Amino acid sequence: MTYLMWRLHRNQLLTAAGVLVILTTALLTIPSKDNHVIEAIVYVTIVVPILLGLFWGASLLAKEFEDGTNGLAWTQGVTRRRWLRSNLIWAILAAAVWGAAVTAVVTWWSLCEISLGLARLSPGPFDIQGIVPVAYSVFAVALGIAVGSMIRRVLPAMATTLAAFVAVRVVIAVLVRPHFMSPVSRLVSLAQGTNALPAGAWLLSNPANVGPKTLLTYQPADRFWAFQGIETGVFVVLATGVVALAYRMVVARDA
Amino acid sequence: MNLQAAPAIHTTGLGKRYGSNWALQDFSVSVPRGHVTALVGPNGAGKTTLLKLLVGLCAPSAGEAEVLGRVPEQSEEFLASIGYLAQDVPLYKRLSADDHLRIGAHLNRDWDASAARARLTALRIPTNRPVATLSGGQRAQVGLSLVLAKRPQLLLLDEPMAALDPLARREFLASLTAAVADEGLSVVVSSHLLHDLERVCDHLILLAASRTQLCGDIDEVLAEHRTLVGPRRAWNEIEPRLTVIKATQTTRQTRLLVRVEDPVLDPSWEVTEVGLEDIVLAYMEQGEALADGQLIELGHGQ
Repeated sequence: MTYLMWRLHRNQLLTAAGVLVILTTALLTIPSKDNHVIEAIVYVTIVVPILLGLFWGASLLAKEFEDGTNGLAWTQGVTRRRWLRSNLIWAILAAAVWGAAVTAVVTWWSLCEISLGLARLSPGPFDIQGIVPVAYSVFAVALGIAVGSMIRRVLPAMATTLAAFVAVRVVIAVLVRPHFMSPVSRLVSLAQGTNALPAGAWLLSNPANVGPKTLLTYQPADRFWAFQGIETGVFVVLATGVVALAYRMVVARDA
Repeated sequence: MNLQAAPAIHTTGLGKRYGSNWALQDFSVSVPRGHVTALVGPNGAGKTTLLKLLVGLCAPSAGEAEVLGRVPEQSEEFLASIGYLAQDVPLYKRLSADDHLRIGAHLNRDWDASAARARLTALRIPTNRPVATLSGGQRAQVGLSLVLAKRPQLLLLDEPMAALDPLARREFLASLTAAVADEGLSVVVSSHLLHDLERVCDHLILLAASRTQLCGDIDEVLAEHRTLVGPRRAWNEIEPRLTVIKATQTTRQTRLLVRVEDPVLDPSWEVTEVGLEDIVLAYMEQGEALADGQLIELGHGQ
């Protein structure tokens, strides 16, 4: 199975490796630390998981179904269960490694780059640093594989994966993540306002005026890794769920 | 049960339903080993569904199937014993025949790549080019070589020649015949045309209107069917022991295609033998009429 996976998908892996080399070279060679172009490129890496989900995940099985090659693969000497397991392991592993590599480059770069490093708990910087991008990549690829095994056509599977992934990401980032841990509330004087916010803290709601004071509700910056851990856990659990769905769709459903 | 002695295919009441439509219904046959069986029927009669049920790509909605003594299932032992070539010969388009042979070697315990390569070389099929650049006939030959390389005991081919020109059909059949002679394996080949298969098959399954119409040795099928031509007579004057498959009448003549077990003795009939193609076509017409819920009364009362 490993040989089949390599032979079918080696071009994609080589392309991904090439893109990574280009990204790293760009970050290394452009000397300015105040370069908006580079910062923009770093923010673009927020779409890396979804690209992996579409091109490695959704198309992986959907392409086999579309071309009928699942009928070829499923009548060789390996069971469907083993076939799916190889597909999942190699696609998820590749996504994790690639996602981790991109994130490592971005995290390393943003530690040098003050603007990104300081506000790293805020939405945006949080999503492209640390370990969550790896979890997003793993979930996106697992989701794509599950959707592909269900819908069985490449383009509809990609569209559905895109919509489902964006929906899950937005719901968790906007509605769930602020409540991972109880926020801190502090009353500060009106004059101080948001200036009293500790460095790097994530302000959760607009400052409210309470008499002569202003109420600040925020998550302190030192919770960065705790939040990374919780968010990663959430996406690993979601990934496990969609993997179970993919097994059902491949092993129990007709070809 | 002794697996070696089990028939190649044994089904009882096998059926497959998609939504409210039965693609295959009440299919009960037994095919001994060592035969080359033609699976014939009009488009949509359930040939593809049947083959998918037999290789375990589909689960039955009713009844059961045994292939080589085993229930078709997702186990390595079962998968190793069958070779299946799906309709339109699906292959990985961008990979070459060599790539497919290498992949097969990794996916199958028993794999005879050298024989496959020798076959393709003898047919002058380039094995290093993406299969998408090959002709339909060449792709079919690659597909056949791949299933043969598995060294299966039962080979199931779903309309392997549907897209081929007459020359490629002939070459494909020659390859198939040679392989069967060498390996002594059991084969089921489906087609909506009998013509292609008549020369290579010794067994027949006729499927029409999702039901088995006929299953047996081709020689026996030929021996059991006769055309009777005689003076025009009314429907109730035909002997009840004759199973009428097809009847046509003109103002002076009645012409019947019948299934008989004993010789027809009534001297008013002129009895002649029938070709296999005519028998098959008669059953298919009958099957279509049955599908509409009525027995055929072709030309009756004219």
